[in-house]
Amino acid sequence: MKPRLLTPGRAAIIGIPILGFFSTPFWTFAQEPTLWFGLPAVLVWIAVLVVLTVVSIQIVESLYLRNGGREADLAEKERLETQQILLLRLERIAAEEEEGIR
Amino acid sequence: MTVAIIIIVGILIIGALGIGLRRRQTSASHWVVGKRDIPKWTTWFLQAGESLTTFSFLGLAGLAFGGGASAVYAIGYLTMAWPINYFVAPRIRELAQRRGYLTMADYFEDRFRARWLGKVVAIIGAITLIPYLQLQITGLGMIVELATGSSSARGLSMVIASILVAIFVAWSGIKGIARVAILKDILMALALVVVIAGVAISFNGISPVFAEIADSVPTLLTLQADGFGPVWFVTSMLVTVIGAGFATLPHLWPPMLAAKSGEVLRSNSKWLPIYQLLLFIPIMVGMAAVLKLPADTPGNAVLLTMTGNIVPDWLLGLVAVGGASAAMVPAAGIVMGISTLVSSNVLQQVSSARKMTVNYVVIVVALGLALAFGLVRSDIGALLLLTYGGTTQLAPGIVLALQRKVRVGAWPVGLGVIVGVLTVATITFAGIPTGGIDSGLIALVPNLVVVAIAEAIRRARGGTAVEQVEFEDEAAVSAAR
Repeated sequence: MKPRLLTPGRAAIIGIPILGFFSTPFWTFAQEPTLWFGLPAVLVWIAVLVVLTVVSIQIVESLYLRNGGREADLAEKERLETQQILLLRLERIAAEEEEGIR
Repeated sequence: MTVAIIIIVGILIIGALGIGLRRRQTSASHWVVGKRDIPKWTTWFLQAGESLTTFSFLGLAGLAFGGGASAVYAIGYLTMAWPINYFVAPRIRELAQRRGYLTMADYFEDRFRARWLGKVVAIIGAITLIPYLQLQITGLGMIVELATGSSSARGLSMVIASILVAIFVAWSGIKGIARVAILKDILMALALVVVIAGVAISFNGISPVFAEIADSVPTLLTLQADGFGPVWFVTSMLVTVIGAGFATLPHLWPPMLAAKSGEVLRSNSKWLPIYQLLLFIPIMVGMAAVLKLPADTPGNAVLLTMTGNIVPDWLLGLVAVGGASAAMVPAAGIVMGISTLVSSNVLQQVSSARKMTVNYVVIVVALGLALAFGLVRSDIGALLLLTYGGTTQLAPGIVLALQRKVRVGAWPVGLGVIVGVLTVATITFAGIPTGGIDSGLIALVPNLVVVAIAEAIRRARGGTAVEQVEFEDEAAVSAAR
């Protein structure tokens, strides 16, 4: 059984920077002219959120790999060749047409 | 003249790099997705294509010129799209590899077991991408005109670039696009660094720019500029996050489907948000331009006019080549997306041997149309709203079909899409005021309501989950070969 990539916990981790982005207009620094380190505070805030997004995805990825993701990645490498997939697709369409599914 | 020569030579080099391969791609599937084994770095540049486009070059600086810091909404949505893509893209690729999808419409057709739904999605996708294609071609012409000051150079560059794009896409498919995408991102990054360095030199640093803005036009440092308030900011981000995160634009699919593995897509999604930091450059240049350029400067002209004021001609030419590449790569991806939808889904009776011929014809027709609209300066801006708003209506269907068991039927999803697209079209063409809320976001409401009602009716009449072919069955078929 393949491990789940999206779980409620991981969605919550990803949700933190997303919440940050959507909350941006409601902070005081976005409503009044504010400079941080000589730059517009909104720009600095968004840059921090970009970095936070990367960090949150890295955390989610490490959780996934530790919970069966690594093995799933290895199994995925043993994949079908494109030509085989095409043949399968054509067979599937033909079979479905015969069965009247399509 | 020097600038024009540099740009034309640059465009020719980009085209030659795209053609590159000694042998023409003759298999329709290899042409679109290669052998579905495109490695991490190549996929990176293919996926990053949407971040650095003519919009980054022209639109974003113009937006910052008028709306100040509000322009960061673009960085917000482009960044937030990646965590969503992290979860969505590997699943779509997995399904595509197992079931042989070449297009987004294949996904709808197969997951909902309805050929007609695939056709509807393909037709909507192909039509709504034409204005987006025109935007790229027009953007390229605009870059050349701004850099050279010559309207004849504009037309000539648009024609040359369109012909080259048609040739290299037809000849090399996704591999050609990937090669040019790498060059494009290098050129774009260099161009943006040149521009911001020029601004820093002319203002004796970046901080003095914002100190001066704080004194003269302080609202530009906030999200309160006229027409760019909180409602605009949040809803614009939301609708574009839905579109980009769930890949509702059909031309975003080939890079996903061609990736070597789900791990490649996850890895790119982990790091691609960092790329968006580059977009702070056009925003800062646009804000700096408020202090240097007349207030009536057209938004799209801001970045290149500023650049022209602070760097020598030859460097302006190189920056413009970067901008031209930012138009050619997305144009190539879009035209391939359109042609594949037509050859694989709209005209399904076409034999495999004839598919490439159909692709070539569609490439010429689509690029020809976009070029014609661009050359006569036809304003199809309203149609462009259909590109974003219309394709966003595909998001519910994409999400519903991600699950192992597809519980909603084809008719409810199809009706929802049709109602959503009609709503966007009505709002757009009737000019109905929306209070700054994107029409695509508004149209999602009737779309979802129709899906819910139609699905309730379907279930009341005994409808069940859509029957799916189990992967294990296919694996057994494969093993038996």
